[in-house]
Amino acid sequence: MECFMGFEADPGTLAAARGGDRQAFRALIDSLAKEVYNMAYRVTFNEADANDLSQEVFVTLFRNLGRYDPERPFAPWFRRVVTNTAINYRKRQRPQRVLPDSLASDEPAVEGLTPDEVQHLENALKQLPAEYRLVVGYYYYQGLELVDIAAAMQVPVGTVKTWLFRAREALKERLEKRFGARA
Amino acid sequence: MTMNCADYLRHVESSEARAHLETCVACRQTERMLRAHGRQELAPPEGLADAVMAAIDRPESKRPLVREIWRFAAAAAAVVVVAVSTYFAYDVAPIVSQIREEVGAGVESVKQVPKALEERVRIILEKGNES
Repeated sequence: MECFMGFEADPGTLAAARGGDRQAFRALIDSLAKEVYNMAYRVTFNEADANDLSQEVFVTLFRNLGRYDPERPFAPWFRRVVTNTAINYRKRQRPQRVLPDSLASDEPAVEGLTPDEVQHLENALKQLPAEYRLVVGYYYYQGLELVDIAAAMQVPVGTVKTWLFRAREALKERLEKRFGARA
Repeated sequence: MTMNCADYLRHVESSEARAHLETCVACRQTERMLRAHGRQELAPPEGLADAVMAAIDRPESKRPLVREIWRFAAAAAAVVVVAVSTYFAYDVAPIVSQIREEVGAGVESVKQVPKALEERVRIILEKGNES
């Protein structure tokens, strides 16, 4: 798997943003926007909601940046901000509509997957709680180790494994129903 | 060491899990799709930074206050319900039962209590006159 730690920020920009420099904060948004938006999409599976959630993450970051200890790494702290904001955002939302598999979808195209597969995958993931979606996002998109995901989610590593297991199992069951794959 | 699907799903990063993937079509398909989906990178909306800066400058939303008002109303309603039910359970109900015992089967509800009390007073007065 291609691994990158994710949510890294330039220390100088970070320090300036903490000091109240708006241009620096804007630069911080620009440097983190892609990863935040992609994680937000993996929680909402909807581009408009992903945009809303990304904005909320950055507003929360702005309001809490003073609490960040610059002696510690930024990424784990920011992951907790993303996690908490995403879970709160999902709690406020109505349950998501899961489209029948036969209907055409408007999910973004994914290299290596057919539109049908993307829809099956996203429909299966949409039925999972926000915590499970975040774990899948951190593991498969950000390529984090289980211990780092546990720190981001503020749960034991065993819980992360369980959530990841349930997400895989839900998808596997759905795929078996649709494509008839057998173990 | 052979591994079943449940073991694979729990320990996908181990060498045994990779061996399981070679034999299990469903797990292989699941893993392939999750990894492909994980590699997908969407471009963030162009106006994201502007929208965030505008949201920061906007005064705080009134929604938290509204939420507090609803909480207060719900708490007040709960207190009223508890008070009313306590009143009926400990104050009114025993009186109704007592009057029903003394006056007879005519009292079925609180509305009938004044009439029942009148009847009780009449009986007491009659007893007093007789003695």
